[in-house]
Formats: sequence, C-alpha cells, structure tokens
Amino acid sequence: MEHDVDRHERTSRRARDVFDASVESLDDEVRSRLRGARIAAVSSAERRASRSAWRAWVPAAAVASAAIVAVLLWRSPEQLSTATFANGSGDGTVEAVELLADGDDLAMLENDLEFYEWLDATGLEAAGSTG
Amino acid sequence: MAGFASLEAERQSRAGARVRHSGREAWLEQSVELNRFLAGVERRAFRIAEVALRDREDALDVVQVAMLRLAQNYVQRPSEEWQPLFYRILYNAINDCRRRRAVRNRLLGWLPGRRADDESGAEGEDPLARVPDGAPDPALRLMAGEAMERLERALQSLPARQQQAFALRCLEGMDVASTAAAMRCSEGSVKTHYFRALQVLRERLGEVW
Repeated sequence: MEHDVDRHERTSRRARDVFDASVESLDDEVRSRLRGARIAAVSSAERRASRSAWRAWVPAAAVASAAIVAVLLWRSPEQLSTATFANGSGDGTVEAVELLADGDDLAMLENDLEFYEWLDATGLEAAGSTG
Repeated sequence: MAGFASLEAERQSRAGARVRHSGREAWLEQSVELNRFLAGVERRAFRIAEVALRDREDALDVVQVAMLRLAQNYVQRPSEEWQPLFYRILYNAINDCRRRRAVRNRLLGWLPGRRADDESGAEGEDPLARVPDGAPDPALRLMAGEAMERLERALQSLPARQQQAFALRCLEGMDVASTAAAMRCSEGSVKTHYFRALQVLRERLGEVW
C-alpha cells in the first residue's frame, strides 16, 4: 500500500513538472493574447463597477421623488381650502359653489330680478341686525 | 444659524468626498488584485483548456470567457473564492464548447463529402509545431514536448470528471475543498475521481515516464 502511494505521488509530481514546463514554454503569441484578454476583463469589471455606482443612486432618487410627490399631493388640498377660507369670503364661496351645483335653482335665478332685489335687501337687513 | 448650516454642509461634503475617495481606492486595489490573480492563472488555465479541448483557438476563447465572467460577475466576492469560481466558469465554458462542437459535428456528418471532426484534429498537426518555444535547450524542449504529449494523450483518455479532478488537484495545485467547490461536488467525490485518474495515468504512462 505504501508502495502504491509512493508511485502515485511520483506520477503526480512528474505530471506537475511536465505541465509546468509546458506552461513556461508557451509561445509569445499565446502570452500576448492572454494578456489582452486579461486587460479586457479588468477593464470590463471597472466599467461595470462605475455603472453600478451610478445605478445605486437610482432607487434612492426614485423613492425621494415619490415621497416629494406624495407630500405635495397630501398638502395641496389642505393649503387650497385654508387659503380660500382665510380671506373672509369663505361662506360666500361655499354658497356660490352650492348654487352653481344646482342646475334648477340657477335657471330660476337668471329670470327673476325681483329675487335679486329681495336677496340684496335681506342681506342688508341681516347685516344691520348683526352689526 | 446660517453659519452652522454652512459648516454642516461643508462637513457633509468632505465626508462624501472621503467616501468617494476611499471607494475609488478600494476599487483600484481590487482591480490590481484581479489583474494579479488573472495573470497568475491565465497560462495554466489555457494549457488545461487546451488539453481538454485539443484546440488552441477554442482554449483561448474559453479562457477569455472565464476571465470576463469572473471580472463582471464575481469580482465583489472575496479574492480567496476567485480560484474555484474561475475554474468552475472555465469548465462550464469548456463543456459549452464541447456541446457546440458535438452539435456541429452531428450537422456536418449529414453533409455529403464532409467528414465530421471526430475530435482528433490535433493528430493531423505537425508534431514540431507543438514543440514549445522559448526553452533554452532544443533537446530538452523536445523531451519536454514529448512528455507533455504523452501526458495529454493519457489525460484525454480519462472521463471528463476524472480529468477535471486531476487537472485542478495535481496540475493547478488546488486543495480538496477548492476543487470540490470548482467541480460542484463533495470532497469525497473529488478524492475518488482523483485517485482513479492517478491509477489510470500510472497505467497509461508506465513506470518509466
């Protein structure tokens, strides 16, 4: 058994020596082409790394943009209604919107001047009583 | 308050520049290390591929493919893993090349007047063309060339897995664990393939080789 191990060891050592010699004696053309392939591989890794670095910011930018849009959409209706009611004519605006939304009432108002006069007088009276 | 803000902005800018600089330095170190690793394995990998494929151009192609795939997909892995990864990729490329060749041969076999390449193309070559250049003594070169030819023929007679185990364990000098990682098998399988390969090679090459 010991003998077999020795012979195996000798065979593998001899094979390694022969292989090493064949590697050392590769011709210049093969060496040059291998060098070229190596340089291309290292360069491609560098290009890929730079692209990856740039791409790493894309998800962060997308999340930030989505957050900004979400905040704007959430804040805008509140700011609009606050601005409308803040100028003192908020009730009138709401009434006008309600009137405009009701088509029948609008048709009636267009043809009834007396109603306008009544409305005007009623408004003045109400202002006098509260003031 | 504005002064504090500007100081804070400047501090953040410097920190960002430091991170970018260290990232660049880290990449440069990795790039140098990758270049060193590939320079260390390229010739041996080429000879292993040439023995497996019996074709110089195909061997150059598969080595180039293995280098590119390692550099593009696995360079971020620890450098200790590069060698088994590289040889796993190399043997995948060798197997792909063998499959393409088999399909091509099958197709060519149907064409009239054409003989399919029976994977013995190297036999028709001038033996002198296979004698390597650059050795100091022509007699030694010839002896080394003959010994390598005998070894190549013996290796080519082995089953693919035994050939792979022998190439990685003996010729490339990888340990059992790395060879198992490269071959995607257990360490026990590596030992079995390697032992059988050694037995066959010893029989084929003889005691005087």
